[in-house]
Amino acid sequence: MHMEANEKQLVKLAKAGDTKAFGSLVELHQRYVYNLALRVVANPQEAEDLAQEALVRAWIALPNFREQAQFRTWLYRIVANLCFNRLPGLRRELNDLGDEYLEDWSDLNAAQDDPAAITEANDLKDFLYYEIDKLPEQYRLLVSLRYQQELSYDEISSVLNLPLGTVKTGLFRAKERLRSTLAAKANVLEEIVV
Amino acid sequence: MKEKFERSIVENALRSYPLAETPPDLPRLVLQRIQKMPRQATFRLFWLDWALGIFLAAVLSFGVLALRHVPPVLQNQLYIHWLQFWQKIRLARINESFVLAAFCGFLIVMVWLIWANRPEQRKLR
Repeated sequence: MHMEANEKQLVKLAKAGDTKAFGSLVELHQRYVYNLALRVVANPQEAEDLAQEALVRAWIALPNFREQAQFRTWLYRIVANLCFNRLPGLRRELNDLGDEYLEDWSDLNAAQDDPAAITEANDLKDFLYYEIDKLPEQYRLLVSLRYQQELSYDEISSVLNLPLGTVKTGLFRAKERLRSTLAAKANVLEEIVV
Repeated sequence: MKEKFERSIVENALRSYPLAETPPDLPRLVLQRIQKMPRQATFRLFWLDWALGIFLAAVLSFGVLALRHVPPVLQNQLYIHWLQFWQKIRLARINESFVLAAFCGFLIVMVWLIWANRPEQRKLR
């Protein structure tokens, strides 16, 4: 709450032209901006350029920022638009996800009561991190907004200007892809053991 | 592995998916760039905008009121003049269009000159 009030104050000062206040906002958000760009473009140098460009554009557009939205979601919208410019197919791929109803399983937690399951989950994490990086860019964008930036489905829908159903469908499909690669790996391991 | 178990492992991996470290130069480079560029002026109304608005509203109101209080004979004369004017326009449409375009151009240039010479705009240059 205090941090939010502080951020609002910084936004007000930055809107009035205070570069130091904007510098503090950059310090606050740079990690998330950079990571969002990195997950989408999958190249550290390009991600750095994109993050820099996004922050500069934020400075230019700041006088027109209406404080109805949160600063960070507004900032992510700038990053997402730059990603769309850089990867022309990304917008179409997101729109093509459709919005059929799909089961939500985000409330699941790795069998926390079962120590063996936790050990297994930890062993598989590196494999899954690698697989997340290999997901198509539209899924990486959604996964990053949901799990790294911790945005709600509504916020993602607003940032990407997509229907809520499409956001849910995209995230479900991303997770199903990961689950099927995990199942395939488990099958291979079982065959080796047998 | 059961499907539910696989799902929970995936969900946990996603939740613990780590953030990469930011390049150390990023804030410095951003600040360097923004300090070099002029800031876009916020849209605000100034006294000149209000003065122009009031002046135009007064002229229009005066025109409407004047037209309403014109005697009937004069009204008919004005109507006839208007019809004659319209006939001339129809006969010499091309010439009139050029005159009209020139007048509009003049108006645009005047408005632009007034707008560009506002003190706030001068500060940006």
